[in-house]
Amino acid sequence: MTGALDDALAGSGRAAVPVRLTVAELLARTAIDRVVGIGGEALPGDEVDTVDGYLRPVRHPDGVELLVDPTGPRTWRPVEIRSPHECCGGHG
Amino acid sequence: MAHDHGHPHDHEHTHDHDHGPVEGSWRDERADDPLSVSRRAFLAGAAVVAGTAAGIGGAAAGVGQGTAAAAPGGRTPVNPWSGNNRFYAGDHHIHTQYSPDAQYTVEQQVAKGQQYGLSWVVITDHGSVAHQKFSVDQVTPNIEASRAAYRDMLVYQGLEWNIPGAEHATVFLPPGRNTVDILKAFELAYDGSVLASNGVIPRATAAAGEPYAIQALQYLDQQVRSGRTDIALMFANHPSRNGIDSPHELRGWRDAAPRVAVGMEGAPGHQIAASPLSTASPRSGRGYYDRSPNQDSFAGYAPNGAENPYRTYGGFDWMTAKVGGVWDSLLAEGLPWFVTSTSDSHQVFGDTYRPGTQDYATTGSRGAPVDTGVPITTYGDFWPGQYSSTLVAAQSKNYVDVMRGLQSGQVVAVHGRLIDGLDVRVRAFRGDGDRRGVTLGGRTFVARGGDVKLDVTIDLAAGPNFNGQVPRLAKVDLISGPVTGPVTDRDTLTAPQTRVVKTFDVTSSAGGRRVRLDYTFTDVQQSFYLRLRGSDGNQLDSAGNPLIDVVGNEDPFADLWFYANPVFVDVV
Repeated sequence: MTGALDDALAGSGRAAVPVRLTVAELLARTAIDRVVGIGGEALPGDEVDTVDGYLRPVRHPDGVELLVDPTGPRTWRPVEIRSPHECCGGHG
Repeated sequence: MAHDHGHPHDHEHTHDHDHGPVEGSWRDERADDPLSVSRRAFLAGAAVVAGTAAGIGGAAAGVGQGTAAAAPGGRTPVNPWSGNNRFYAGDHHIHTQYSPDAQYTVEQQVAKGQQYGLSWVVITDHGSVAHQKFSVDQVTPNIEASRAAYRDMLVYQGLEWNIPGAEHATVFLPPGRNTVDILKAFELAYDGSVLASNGVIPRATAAAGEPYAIQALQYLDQQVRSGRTDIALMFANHPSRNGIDSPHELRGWRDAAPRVAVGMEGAPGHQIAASPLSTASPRSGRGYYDRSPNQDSFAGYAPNGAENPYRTYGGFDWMTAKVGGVWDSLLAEGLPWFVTSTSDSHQVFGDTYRPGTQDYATTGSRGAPVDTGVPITTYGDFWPGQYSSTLVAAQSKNYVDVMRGLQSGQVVAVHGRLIDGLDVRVRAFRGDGDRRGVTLGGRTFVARGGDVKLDVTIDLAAGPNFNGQVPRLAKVDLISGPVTGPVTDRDTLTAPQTRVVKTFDVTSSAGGRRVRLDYTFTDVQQSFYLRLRGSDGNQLDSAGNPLIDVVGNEDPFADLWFYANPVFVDVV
């Protein structure tokens, strides 16, 4: 386990986040300070697909960060999602 | 004798003529001959002295068999080049109805493997209490029946082992009188899921399990030493998927049993899981690599803005795909660790079958799969051989020889039929040294200041792959780095001096049958290793490296790579 994966958005704030929104909207509506795209810059107008509104950013000394993977041109998805693919009946 | 000692397959060749391979049935009568068993043990011992089994020896003290004969600085070539190796395509990671998350019969998987051009397959259902108790006794006669029905296929019995404290691994043995007994005893004593169910460790992947993983591999090695099996192999599967195969665990497995723990999946299975045609929700990553750090993950693998180790790159696991990454950090120690490519076939994209309705926990089987008559597009797997191939050079197509080929690293991992074969020769070219040279997985030597020549012959795809395309190889990278010896920090995960030393543009070879490449390392002053990879050139970053695979949007046939295993060069 690396550092402090902090459920910084636990509580009422999470439910208010739509499934798809722009990086700028995400920053405006949540406690997230920055959205970091892996392998490229996540621009304010880029779209973030949260899958189901689940957000679990990491708290760093210099702010709360959401890491996102590319899912297509100018679209991203949080690295951590609620329901990744399960194998072995969920025991794997 | 030096020549003989450096010629591993001579031993096996002799062995085979004496006794014949133990093929066809795990109840093979020839293997019931006690003299046969004792002589196998004797010959296994001879191979150990010759330094052939562990292959490449090591710089580290206590590395095990082969160290004395093939230590760096020695003059004993490993995997001498012959120029007439034949490759056999196979797959060491296949599931059946005897896994709780899979569905096909053994016979279906073997038939598909044959249809898609494979010569060997390994049946690897998940380890668990139910599997150990109920499944093994059911899968064994199914495997025997498939051997009888598909005479041209090698059908190995194996296990997808839950490595205590870590990921999954393929463990398998050749057919023999003790094969099933060894597999059952191994699973009962050392499967992480079984240990967790019995309360020995808190959960299968908890760090408390790590010592059991070492003991497990030593147990397998002991089965070989005692002559109960000719060979046993372990490959770590989908090593970066959960970030839980830490570098010190990889090194620990390798060093505990270097003849058994010989490598990892360079590319995981489930290669069509991120296809744009998939209707799965949520969309997944290529290889079902869509996870993130958990409580058992290694901190050094944390994703960051530059990279995400939990995703594939060009279809290959990050450990393998990153130049100077985890795989190279292992090779830079001068020790063998080999990569493969598998299907991990559970449920095949576009197939019409769904699992049977039997209760797995109480029966160890899903029962007979049910044909819905409708293609199912939520599945993420290929059939064995349909996309992923592990090409193994072997002296002959028998159970032990193919495993020896895997053990000695004469292996190329290929996607989508990007290439059909690869002959690699590395030899001393100027100055004293090994003039004959060695091939993939091998170790050669040259006097300090001499030149080392690499000759490569690539057999291009002679026909279409199973997407109906004839793949075009666009480039081949020669990757090399110095051998810097054992690491002080066992969690070392980089080899900063390893780099692409030459990129060969082979686009002009399109339509041809073969490509020949060569490269000379001049005035060699330090021991080093080299390896090759190739690409269709479709998805490259500015440095020519594979791109991170995009979640939910990766056509696997539009991004093809091969990775060949290393050759070590000792400067003496």
